[in-house]
Amino acid sequence: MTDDKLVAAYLRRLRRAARRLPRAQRQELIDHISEYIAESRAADAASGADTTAALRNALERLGEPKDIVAAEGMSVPAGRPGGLEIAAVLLLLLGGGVVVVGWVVGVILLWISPRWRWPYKLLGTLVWPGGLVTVFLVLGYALLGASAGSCSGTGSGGGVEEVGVPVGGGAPVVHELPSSTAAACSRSVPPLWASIPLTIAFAVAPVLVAVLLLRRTERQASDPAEPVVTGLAVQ
Amino acid sequence: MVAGDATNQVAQMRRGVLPYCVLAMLRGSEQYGFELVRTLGSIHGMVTGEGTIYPLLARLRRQGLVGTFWRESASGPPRRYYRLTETGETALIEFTAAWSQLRDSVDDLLRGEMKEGS
Repeated sequence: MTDDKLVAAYLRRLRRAARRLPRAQRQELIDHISEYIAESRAADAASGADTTAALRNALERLGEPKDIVAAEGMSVPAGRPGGLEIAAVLLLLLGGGVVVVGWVVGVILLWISPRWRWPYKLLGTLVWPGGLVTVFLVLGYALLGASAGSCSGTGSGGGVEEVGVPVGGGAPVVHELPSSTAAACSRSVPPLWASIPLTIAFAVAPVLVAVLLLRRTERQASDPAEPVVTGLAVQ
Repeated sequence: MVAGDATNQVAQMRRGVLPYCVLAMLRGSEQYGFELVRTLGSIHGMVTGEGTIYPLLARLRRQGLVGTFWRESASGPPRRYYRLTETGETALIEFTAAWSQLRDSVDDLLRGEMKEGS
């Protein structure tokens, strides 16, 4: 392995070990360690020693990445969500309404907050746009469509009618209704055993995402939770 | 406390005093990170890995006990230097007094000189 690859591998391990640190703190640590390695390599190159052996020695002196991260003095508990984070999650969940403004504000807060990583922000945005209101609307529409489909066929002539919206928000299914046959309508409704789990998953997903978001708020570097250096209490 | 636990206890004490050792090293002289870390690392038994000193340095800086600044280096990229702040100086003075007192008391006890109630 070349020297550069050794360094890259070490820094990769460090980055992985440090991934739960607040962003600024993580970057600072990686910068410092990189400086150390650069200084060490410069000194070794000047002395004309075997650089690979010297580099391995330097990395050994630095220690295991996980030990270095542990010295940040925290198991990095997920920080308590602040007011902004709670407002964001509530708006995402419930802010859909007739006017979608509440949910949109929720999305803005979600992306403004420094305490979520982007995958969580993306998840919060996508599951589901409009939050629980979307769930109720879609489910309500599906139920109405299903009941309408099973009984509105009677007496009318053959025609095209929208029946239900498949769970999951796909395109409405358009069925040709044969004339005067209510029995034919019930066939077009998806079987109950298949739709119930899907419906539950669909309705529960945004709630699970909300809970996940509240549990994954990260500590900020400025949180006063780190040990403060004080004098020994001896007196 | 059990027999054989002493090494562990002392390691914890060492972790506790390490910040003040860093402050003491910066008293009267600024040092750049690499130099500081190498010196501390070469004191026997002081730290387990030199990399673990950086989180400590970052903490001291956040707490305002040390300050950092960049200075050009003759032999490469600019270096990040550390210096003691006034707050750091005060903390070091307080610790020095407390430490001397503790050390003397512990030494006396270990030597058994206080048994007579002097």
